[in-house]
Amino acid sequence: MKQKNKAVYPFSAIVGQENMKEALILNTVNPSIGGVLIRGEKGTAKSTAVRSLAELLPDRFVIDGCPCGCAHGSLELCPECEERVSTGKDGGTYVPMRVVELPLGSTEDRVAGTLDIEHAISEGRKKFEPGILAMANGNILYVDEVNLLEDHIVDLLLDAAAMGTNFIEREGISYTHPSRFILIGTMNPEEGDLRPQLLDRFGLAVDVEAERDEGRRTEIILRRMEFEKDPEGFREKYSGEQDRLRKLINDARNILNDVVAGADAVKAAVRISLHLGVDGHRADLALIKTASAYAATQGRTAVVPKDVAHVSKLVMPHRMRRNPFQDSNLDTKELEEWLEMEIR
Amino acid sequence: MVRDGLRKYTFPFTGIKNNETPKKAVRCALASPNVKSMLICGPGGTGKTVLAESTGSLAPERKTHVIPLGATEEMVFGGIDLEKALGRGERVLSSSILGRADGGIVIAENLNLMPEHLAYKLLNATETGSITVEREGISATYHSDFLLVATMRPDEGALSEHLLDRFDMCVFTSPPKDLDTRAEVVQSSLEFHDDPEGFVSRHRKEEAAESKAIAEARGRSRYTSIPEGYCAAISEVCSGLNVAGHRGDIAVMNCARAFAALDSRDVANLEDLKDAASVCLEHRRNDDGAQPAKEMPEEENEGPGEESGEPEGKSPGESGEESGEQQDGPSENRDRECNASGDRQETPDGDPPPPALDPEEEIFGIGEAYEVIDYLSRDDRGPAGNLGGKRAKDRSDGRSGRTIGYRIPKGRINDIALCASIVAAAPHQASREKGGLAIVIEKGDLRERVRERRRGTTILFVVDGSGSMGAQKRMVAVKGAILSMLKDAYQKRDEIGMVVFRIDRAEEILEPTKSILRAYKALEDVPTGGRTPLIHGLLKGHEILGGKASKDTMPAMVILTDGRCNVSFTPGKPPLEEMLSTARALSGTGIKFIVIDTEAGRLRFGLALDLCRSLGGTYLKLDDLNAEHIEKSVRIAIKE
Amino acid sequence: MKNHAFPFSALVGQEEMREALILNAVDPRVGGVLIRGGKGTAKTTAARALADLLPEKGDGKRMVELPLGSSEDRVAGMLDAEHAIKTGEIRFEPGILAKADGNVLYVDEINLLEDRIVDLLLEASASGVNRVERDGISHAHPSRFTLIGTMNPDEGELRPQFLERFGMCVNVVQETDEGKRMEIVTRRMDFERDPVTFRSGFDSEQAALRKRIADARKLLSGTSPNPGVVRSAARIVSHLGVESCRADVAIVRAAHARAAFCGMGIPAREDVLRATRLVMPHRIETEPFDEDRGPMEGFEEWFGTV
Repeated sequence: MKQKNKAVYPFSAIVGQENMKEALILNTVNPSIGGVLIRGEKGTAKSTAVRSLAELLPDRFVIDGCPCGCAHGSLELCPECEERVSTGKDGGTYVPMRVVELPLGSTEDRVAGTLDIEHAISEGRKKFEPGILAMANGNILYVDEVNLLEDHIVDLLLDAAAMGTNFIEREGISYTHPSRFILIGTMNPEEGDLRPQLLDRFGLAVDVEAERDEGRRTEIILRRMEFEKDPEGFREKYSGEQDRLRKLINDARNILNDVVAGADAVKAAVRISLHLGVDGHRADLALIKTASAYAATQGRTAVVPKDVAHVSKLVMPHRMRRNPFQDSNLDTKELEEWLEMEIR
Repeated sequence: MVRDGLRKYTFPFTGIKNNETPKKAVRCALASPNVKSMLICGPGGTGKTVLAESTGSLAPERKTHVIPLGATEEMVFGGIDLEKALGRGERVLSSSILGRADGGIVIAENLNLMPEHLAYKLLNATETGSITVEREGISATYHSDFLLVATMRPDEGALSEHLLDRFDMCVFTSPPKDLDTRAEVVQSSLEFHDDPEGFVSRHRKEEAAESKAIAEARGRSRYTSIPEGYCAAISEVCSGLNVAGHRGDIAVMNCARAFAALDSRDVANLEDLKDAASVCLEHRRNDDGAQPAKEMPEEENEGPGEESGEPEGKSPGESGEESGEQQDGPSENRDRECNASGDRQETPDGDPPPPALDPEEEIFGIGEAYEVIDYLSRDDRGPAGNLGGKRAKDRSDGRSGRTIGYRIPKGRINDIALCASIVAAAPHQASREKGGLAIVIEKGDLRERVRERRRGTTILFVVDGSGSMGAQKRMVAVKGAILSMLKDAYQKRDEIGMVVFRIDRAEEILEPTKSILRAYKALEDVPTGGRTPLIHGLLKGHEILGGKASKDTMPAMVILTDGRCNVSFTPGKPPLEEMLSTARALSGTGIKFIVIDTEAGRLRFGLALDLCRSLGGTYLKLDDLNAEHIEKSVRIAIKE
Repeated sequence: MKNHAFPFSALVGQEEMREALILNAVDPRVGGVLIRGGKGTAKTTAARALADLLPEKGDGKRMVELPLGSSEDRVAGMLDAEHAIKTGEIRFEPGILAKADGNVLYVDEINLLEDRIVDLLLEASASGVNRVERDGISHAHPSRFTLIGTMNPDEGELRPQFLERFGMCVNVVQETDEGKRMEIVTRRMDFERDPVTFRSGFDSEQAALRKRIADARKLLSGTSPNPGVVRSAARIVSHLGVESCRADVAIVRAAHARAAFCGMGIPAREDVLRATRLVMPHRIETEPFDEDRGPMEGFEEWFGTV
């Protein structure tokens, strides 16, 4: 159902689904984690959670008037902003971080950007018309049913996600702009798999299941009904909780730069990856980054091996070699115990 | 190379140290005013390009032109002259590659990668010497007489027989046969690249003498004659090789005259005829190629080992699709290939130790691969034509896929091709209100792109691994068939998966992948033995492919079985009955089914055919897959 | 955008890949390199890091990237529509192949490139010339480049014809050594936290590497291919059953480049060996249905006996 005024279901009112909520918050704290893939059947509040995350997002300081949302003071800028910086016209402004949606069936030109044909024909000048990848820069890029995305769109996403840059070489346009985004995808695994390449680009993955506990199920329905009856009142009720979350995220972001992962934490990450037989060190990096974000939410500036073990349930599931006969659920407890033994 | 001011130096013809037969053919083509086209085939890195380009160095008076792969039709044959249309609003035929090439040489590399209609038009032009343009309001015919030198790598795809037959000559390059020659070839290649000027000047004298000889021969060959009796001999050779049509006969005569002229004679002799036949008939022969025809001459006058550079077997058309064999061309290498697969049958080697086998289980080797027919687009049985059509490509409606042309848009325009629109607007500019611009594009000028999207095909092999497949080593043949289909899928870049059903379950031993290496490994380890849970196989296959049917992919299930299902899925149900009802239920799921009947021996039940009918799929016998078998049986049918 | 790539000298492990890239920087005639490997093996990072080591050129460009979704007309060049509309003149607008001339052309996920784009690359790399015949444009310009590609073989293979155009091929595997892996992760973290400081920490190493490459180039320009090396190359390639003479050429070039990088004029046995290891893998595997037999395995012993 569509609400007229952006009456969004508050994030903090979502019942259960702790892993999903944690993954989303950690990504907001540390965007370099690389996004999250949320897998689960229909009706598990996947989309609700992502959309309601928007309200908790911090502000960004960007260069005024840039359609690509170039961050102020960043080393990566679009050609216009490089021009602005070099001519001293780089005034900054605060804008809230957004959730930019990439709908299925989007065309290549809409995603990557394209030649502004109208402009070309009427003015005889070529102009770049930014696409979704430009809008997503510095923001969250949300793809619902990401597994149903067409191959050539996935290629575009992969390129941008890998480099943080969108290169356009098409329709007579040659253009480059930064495109760093938190990629959030939701999917129903029954409808098909994700290409391994894209799967690998997600920093975290969580599998959500429909709530089984009867009491909680009732709670979900009650809250939902309450929200639909009186959205404003409902939101009011949770505003304190929302503020607390917002502050948590902000505080964590503020100390994130001071968070240090020492040798023991790095060692723990590497050990876990090797132990689970995961390919590539992208997993190691994701473990450290996520653990750093986690430590920051705990108000700590030192990452301990336990943090690494704690976040492994978010970092590892989609990276482990697929074995259809085994449940891919990771036993964090066991892992923590194992790690304890290993490190001691 | 071409004198277009980009690269000044061409590798000199006289600097080529190997490929003696192709070299002879090049001289012959240049020495004959009647030879219009020549195809150079060969694996990569065996000197095709060097040979093709050396024609320019040998005949400096004839200008060389190159047709790049991306060239569009109007640039090759002619279209509207954009500049004139813009400047004066006139519709004039533009300058084109063939328009400029009259009297010259045209090089078209990788002809097999060129759009087929373009290649046809090109070869037609070589035969008629005239080109007609009908497009963008231009209607014109012009004359252009040129020598076409084309190259191709057979492993990248074959040319159709018709196209092949249009070539006057066809030669095959091969790697140097002995070490000394090889070192020499490599050394001269290095030298040329490091110091082209020095290299060319070192060969200048020789090269000049050679090109003078050719120019003289070209003059002389007009007057060279062929003794009367020889014409009949040529016809006999041609029919012995089952060469269709008369192009072959004529080409042999023309080449024989040129060979005679190159030898400063006015009358061709038997030697000339043999040489001519070897370069003109090989690509046209239609016999089974088992033995060289009785008149086919052995090469006598060339260096050692040269004759093995000549293929003795198949026409390149056939070999083009067998990437394994034709790469090698010479028969000795083909033996190597055979040996390799022979070894495989004895010991399935590979590093990992063979998995522990059930007592009743066996692992068979992989039979030899062959060229398969286009089994996916056959629709000769059953009503499953809904997904038919050609497999790889679809015109796409959206803005995805690659541009293959332009059209006048219908309805809403959303995918404008700017350059094509400018071309369309060009002739009207004189009469338009400009408003500061040089070109005014109006709505009627707008062209949109026609895009083509590859529809990926996911092919799932559902393989019967039951004990009956072990009988008479049937599994060897089945594995050979799968390998052949894998090769085919590789060339068409499809996605492949594999399911094996046996004992009491179906197992996905390969999730759909594009990595053929993985597929091959999985194939190697397919075990045999136990009962036949065919229904399990069908359901597993559906589980894997079910979600794949979309506008982007076409899923196909290739079921290799004898249909003797003897395990039911639902306990208590009769297996055969359940198999057929399951099959009927699957028939409308958007998956294309191909049933390959592996039944052999005298006693046949024909159950696979029943299965196929229920699935609404395409039915083939294992032997039907082999394109060569089909061709042969068709040929026999025609003759009788 | 400016170059803020990970410095080449900060890479850990993956010796073969690094060697292949460096040899291409020493001598572009080696013919490029294809880096194949699973995810997260730093292949893309390494390829991009090479840009910093390439000799400075006038226009400041050293590495040109070809993004996956590139259209045919942008790669080959096209009619300059802007100019045509404004002035009515027909003019060629150069594309990526023009930019790539004299540079390194890098393609990430090269196995996902569309066939038509592959055709364009093939043609240009075979002839050193880019010819455009479309939309009323008939134009040709030089386009000689060192092609560097990275790919994950799980997503599909390259066409044999394309594969063969690469002078070298490296199959990278992931690092399993715990210590090295820790080092990789730590460096990467440091880099991401503060790329500028991290890069400056490797300034001197980068400069030393650049100088070594420049010296090797100088040394190489005065040497011509050694006939003995040519003969060994021919012998090795025939022994391994590869037909294409491009293999021999690449071995000779690579052996010379390696010798020069070590400050020697004439390649030693070791140089030829290492060169072979880099040049042959993809040529032996061209036939995807061959066993993964690896004749390379017994090859060194064989070579020892010659």
